[in-house]
Amino acid sequence: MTNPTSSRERILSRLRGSPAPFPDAPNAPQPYLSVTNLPDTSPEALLTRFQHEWEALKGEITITPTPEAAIQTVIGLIGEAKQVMSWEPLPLPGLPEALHAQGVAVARPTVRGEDRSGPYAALDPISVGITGADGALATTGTLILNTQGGQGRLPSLLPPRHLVLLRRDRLFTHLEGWLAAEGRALLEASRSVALVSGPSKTGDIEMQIIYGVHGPKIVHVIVF
Amino acid sequence: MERSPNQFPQAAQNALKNPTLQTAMERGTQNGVNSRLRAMGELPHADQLRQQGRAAKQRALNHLPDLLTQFEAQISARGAQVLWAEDAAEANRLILEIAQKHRVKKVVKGKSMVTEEIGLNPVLEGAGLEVIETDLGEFIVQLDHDTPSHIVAPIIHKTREQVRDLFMDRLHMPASDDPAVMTAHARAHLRQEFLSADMGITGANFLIAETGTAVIVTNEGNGRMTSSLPKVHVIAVGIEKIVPTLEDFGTLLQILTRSATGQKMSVYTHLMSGPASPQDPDGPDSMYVVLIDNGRSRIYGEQYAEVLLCLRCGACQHVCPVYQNVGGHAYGAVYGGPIGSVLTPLQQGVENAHPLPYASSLCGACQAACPVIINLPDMLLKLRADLVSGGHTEPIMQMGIKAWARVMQSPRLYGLGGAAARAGTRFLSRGSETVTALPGILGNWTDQRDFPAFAPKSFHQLWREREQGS
Ligand code: SF4
Repeated sequence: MTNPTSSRERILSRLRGSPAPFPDAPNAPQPYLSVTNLPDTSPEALLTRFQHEWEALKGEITITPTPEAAIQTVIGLIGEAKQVMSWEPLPLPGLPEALHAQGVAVARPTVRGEDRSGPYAALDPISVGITGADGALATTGTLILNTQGGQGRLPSLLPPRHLVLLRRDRLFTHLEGWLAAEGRALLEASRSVALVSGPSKTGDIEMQIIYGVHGPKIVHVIVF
Repeated sequence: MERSPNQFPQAAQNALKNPTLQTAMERGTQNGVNSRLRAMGELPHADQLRQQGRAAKQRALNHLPDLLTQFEAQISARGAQVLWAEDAAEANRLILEIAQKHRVKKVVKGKSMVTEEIGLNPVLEGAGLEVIETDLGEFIVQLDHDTPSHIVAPIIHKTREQVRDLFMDRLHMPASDDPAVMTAHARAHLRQEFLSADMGITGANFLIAETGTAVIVTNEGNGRMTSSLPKVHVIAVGIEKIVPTLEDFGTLLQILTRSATGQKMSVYTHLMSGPASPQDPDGPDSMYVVLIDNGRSRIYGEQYAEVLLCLRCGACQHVCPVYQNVGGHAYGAVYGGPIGSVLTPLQQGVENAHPLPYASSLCGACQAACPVIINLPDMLLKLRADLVSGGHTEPIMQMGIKAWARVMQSPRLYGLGGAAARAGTRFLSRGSETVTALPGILGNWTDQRDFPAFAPKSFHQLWREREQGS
């Protein structure tokens, strides 16, 4: 690549040569107003609001009382599928064993490097992806999916059905709250953080909403 | 298709006479207006948030050079390569060189206005690369050799029946005008392209300087796939997309999505701080960020710097009475509607887009809808002034304006003129509220619009009568 540093220098020097265009711009507010608000931030209120927002986005959700119940929910949701792809590790101990006992094969996809079309084509028929979530934002119905170690992007990207394991103590009030509490550190440590608010959708044809365009059509959150 | 801004009057006339376009525009824009009103209207502090967002973008521009180098340092430390392009040609050349270096054959693209602006696709295709748009609307545009007509709703000008015919013809789809069936068909087709592409190209809605993070927002998931599946990811982005801090980003992201599509958040907000790390199981091995100037640093130093605050939400397009009727293509440029009427003359030279500053009734709906309160009507007026002082108006307009100035300077002439106009329009309107045809050269006005009849008494007359107690 020939990127003459001169382009960089010329752009920067043109910008530096002009006075600041908005000398009267106000300073950053202290504190910032958040876009959404939730007066009651008790764990119950956070979960109630998340469920409300998530269902409004046409996401699916099952709130389970115990990790064991969560495992049973996942097994039930997988239904007839004989193969899934998943994070490694999953945040729900005992789930891989339970899947094995059901005769469900678990792929833990790793696709890097030059030739990807072969491995992708092999993964494409798998209809269910299982991941955890780093957390969720209550007021917007948003899941936080971080990529690190064996916890990659493909299981939440390729299959038409995505099952998400969410610990109930990982709910944040809103985007602003999460950014301040954990987002900053996460963005500095991780290369890819996806905030997912409901199933994939489009309104391109006459603004009629259709679900499952490129990403999953069904996103089912299992809270435990 | 008319693709010159200077042909706006003729293109607008044609658009008004095109019943299919009128149907599509009516279905589309009303929906866009309503969803934004709902999403912004439910916030009791919407106006304070718009002020907060505006101030954040203003600070970003005030410190633009430092923030750009801060972003560059942060994201390069994690292995991304940052390249700078002064103009469209350089940006296209850099991206082509990246593709050639990685021996790329097939490119998938996420929706990106800036790559439309620089005309990237023909350059890549000319070099023998296969380029596939993956946003459903952009895919349809590409399949039909068309161009997008709205920033966030690229095929707002097409009806479902047109899409059906296109898919039947080009993708061998069985007959159906059900958007669900058509979407499923496109999904299956595009999935194969995603799985076999060597390079993904996206834009970015924000570049966060303090963490060195590029952000793309999509609903379909094509943006996340384009930036995750191929071995190389290129982000093509205008230099004005920088925001200083995460707090600024938090506000701007949400007023963007609420204004664009009425959503609290888009379905996918992908925060990318570099190529995949050695430990990551998937993601691109290489990431490039191409920072594109293409006239922005020049606008930065002019009286129109405010246009660089734009988030490209498309709200000003939905609400504009001119855009609602003529659609985006009539503007003859990449950006239509009020934002385009300002940007196009600034980018292409006002003499090459002289009808556009007049393609507005100055009703103010655009500024009222804008999440960062950009004063579009004021900039349109300034551009009109530039046209006049540069001698770019039609001679008849200049005559009119000079006559107007003379009349305005003389109370007696002004009074006489007003009285004559009142009498004249009463005659022409034959007692109704509007005049549909003005005589002589004034007919140029009523060719395209109705003219309201003057009130029977002028404000001056009423005031005098009031003062005299009559
Ligand atoms: S000018 Fe304002 S309303 Fe128009 S696209 Fe830009 S941000 Fe949106």
